[in-house]
Amino acid sequence: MARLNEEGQWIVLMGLLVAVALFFLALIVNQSALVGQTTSEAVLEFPKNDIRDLRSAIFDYIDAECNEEVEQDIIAISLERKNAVVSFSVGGPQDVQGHKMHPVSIHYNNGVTAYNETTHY
Amino acid sequence: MIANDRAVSEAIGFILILGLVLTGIGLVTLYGYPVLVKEQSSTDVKNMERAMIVIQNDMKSLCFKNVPYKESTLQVSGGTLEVIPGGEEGAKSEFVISNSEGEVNSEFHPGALVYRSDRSTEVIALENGAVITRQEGSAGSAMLAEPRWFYDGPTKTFVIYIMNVTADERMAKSGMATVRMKRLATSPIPPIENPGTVKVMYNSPSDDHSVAWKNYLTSPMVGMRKASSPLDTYEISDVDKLVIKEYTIEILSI
Repeated sequence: MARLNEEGQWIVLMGLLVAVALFFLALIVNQSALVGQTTSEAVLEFPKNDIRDLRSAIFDYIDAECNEEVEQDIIAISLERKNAVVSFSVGGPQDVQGHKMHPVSIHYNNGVTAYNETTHY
Repeated sequence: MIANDRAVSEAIGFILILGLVLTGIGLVTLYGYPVLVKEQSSTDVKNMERAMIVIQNDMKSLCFKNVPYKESTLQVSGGTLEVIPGGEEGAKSEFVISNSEGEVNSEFHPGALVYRSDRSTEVIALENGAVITRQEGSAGSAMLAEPRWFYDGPTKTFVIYIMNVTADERMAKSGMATVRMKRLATSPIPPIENPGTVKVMYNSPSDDHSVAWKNYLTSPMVGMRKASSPLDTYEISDVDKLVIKEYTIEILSI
């Protein structure tokens, strides 16, 4: 038996090492699944379209001479349909680079995402 | 190989090896097997935690995204999934929302989806939009996934979501389960202007998730603080507008 060529034993040893490494990798993969799920959910839940819709509604409201009842309607509809608390204020026209523009500040919060914007329209 | 090998016997060698093998088998049976079983049950519980978060996401879609119907198939292994319908009699826990002036006084019995593990004491519940874990028979609980209550600072608006679970009967299942859910129409509760101090009381006689709810309601996201009395009551002051949104989800089958 002793005369058998034993130089290939390192291959078996490497096999063992790879198996141990795979075991620890499997542990890590097992842990990470939950993290990945919640993170991707947060990315998917960003209310991009809701914020865009709100902005366009506010700009229409400015075009329509800032009716107080429309403001209340926008706030109520956002709360009822989009579950978002919104508030916005429109200032008097200012001269911005030769154009008459209204300073607008928008606040949006749906419990996950809070969004604040100050712009001119 | 000059050494004297007169004491070398095949029988002794065999007995030594056999002894080692038997010791090895004994050790594995004594210590290894329980560890394996424990590992298996903790894997089952972990999978179920994930499945509960999936159901919670489905419920969020039903409530917040105007989706009328959802179903998802999941593997309930190592335990039983049970539906406890809400309402006055069936549900155990209740939320009482009131304010300092006393004009708001609403009670909600949201019901729950509960998973109980067979091999361990772990219990996972989906109650009022939150996934909560606890150990059967011992105090304490923790929230795995939170609901979406919030206080909006700039507008001083406090938003409370109530997610009721209803079913025609109590249901339970283990193995492959398809949870089919439908949103029922609920009459909207109009926002309450200037409620002053809003109080939320969580009351649960047997299924005790009070620690989880305490930690959630007093977290910075919701920003309530513990009221001096009665027990398990939390309050938030300086609220200009209180919004209570109530949803009812019917579990058609599991």
